[in-house]
Amino acid sequence: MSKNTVSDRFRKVDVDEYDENKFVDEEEGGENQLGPDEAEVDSLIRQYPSLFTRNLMGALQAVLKNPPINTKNQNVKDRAEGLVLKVLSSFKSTDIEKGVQSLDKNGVDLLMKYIYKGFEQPSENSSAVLLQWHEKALSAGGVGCIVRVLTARKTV
Amino acid sequence: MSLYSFGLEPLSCHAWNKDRTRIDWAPESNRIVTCASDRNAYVWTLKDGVWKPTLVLVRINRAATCVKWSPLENKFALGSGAKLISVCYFEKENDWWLSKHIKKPINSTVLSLDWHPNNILLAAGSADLHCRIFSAYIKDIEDKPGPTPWGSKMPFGEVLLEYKECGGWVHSVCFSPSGDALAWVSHNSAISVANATQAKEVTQLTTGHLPLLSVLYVSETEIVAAGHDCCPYQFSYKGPGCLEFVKKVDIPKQSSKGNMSAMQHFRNLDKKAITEEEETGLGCLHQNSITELCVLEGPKAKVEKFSSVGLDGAMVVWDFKH
Repeated sequence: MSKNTVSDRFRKVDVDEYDENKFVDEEEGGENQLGPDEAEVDSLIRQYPSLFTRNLMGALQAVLKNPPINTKNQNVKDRAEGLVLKVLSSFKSTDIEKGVQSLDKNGVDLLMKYIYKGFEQPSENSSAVLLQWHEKALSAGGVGCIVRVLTARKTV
Repeated sequence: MSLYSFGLEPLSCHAWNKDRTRIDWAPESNRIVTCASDRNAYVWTLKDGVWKPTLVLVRINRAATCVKWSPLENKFALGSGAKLISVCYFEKENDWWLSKHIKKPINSTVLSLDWHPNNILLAAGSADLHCRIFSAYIKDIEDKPGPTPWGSKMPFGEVLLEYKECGGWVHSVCFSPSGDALAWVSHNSAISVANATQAKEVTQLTTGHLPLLSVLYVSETEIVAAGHDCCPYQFSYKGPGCLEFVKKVDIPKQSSKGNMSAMQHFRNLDKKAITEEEETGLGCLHQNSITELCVLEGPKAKVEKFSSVGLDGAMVVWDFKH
């Protein structure tokens, strides 16, 4: 036999790369997306507008701004997720419902995306907190909200 | 409302044929076109009480997914998994059906089609998350079309609308009775409407329900859509930014908590291991996802009755009050 039949490297070739008709997602420039502003969110968490309650509602609104949806930079995404988790954990259980109700439809969808992203990497207490938020977000957004998390091509 | 049950097999299209994927009936000329996963399409004509098929040369190399007669019934469009739309028309000289393909810029399976009332424009929803309107003008069989709010140059295959933020596979598209607006439902549980008279502006309404699979205009402003939630919903579109949910078309019947006979009690225990009275069926007529909605009675601008079929093998006829 003249051919080398021992090597099986051909099995590791990704044939989809060579397919001319391959479906390519349209790329949209996301290099400038930096995610929510860390300084702003931190200051809002520490703020005490009235005597004992922290300005968590404001922090929630701030952390849901500028979601790093289009960027490919994983660090930016991780940082954003960490920040969101920090804000969500700062809420008291009884205030979660009010927090969810202060958001509009798109806000609830975005919150649900962050919640599922948080589920992917559980840390000590995160899942419990996220589950509480999940329950309230579900009653606000319905199953459609979760469907949108699943169908979204660009996630946080 | 009336319910017809066709047994336990899922109904994929509005007809009683289980291996076809799609079927469409042309009411005026009384011809049926069917298409299937075997990559073929047939046009059936009624001769002496028997339906005779004629093969259509579609030239696709993947399954056909949807088919629709044009309003004048002189041609039909066929969507397929081969990422193209085949517009087929009858050529008298050789006595066969010919097809012309629309390929660009479709990137994935075509999931749904609908014709504009002018017999030229064709809307297509596809799995590449886009909703498009093409021109399907065939100069061999028809006159040049006049301009419409969607555009004025309409050579075959011209794209008059391409919307790419649909958010999910576009399951169903439907033109309004005048043709000035196009509604579609996509897999991200949203319903959207594009309005030609308002610079083709698109209004999207995200819902909290499971994804809708079929959409139907029942008047110039009222839209009915149904899907995995097993119940038709009514929406209203009055202009850009004014797309809203009106109501559920199905009114769930209150389960009567009457006295169950001993016989029923033991039957439940035996078959379903239920010890107390429990309602396990869904509180609506369809028990599984609704796959298609179809106009039954009334002109397109004022539909009186429409029907729905679903994966539960049932067909329901609904009355619509305007």
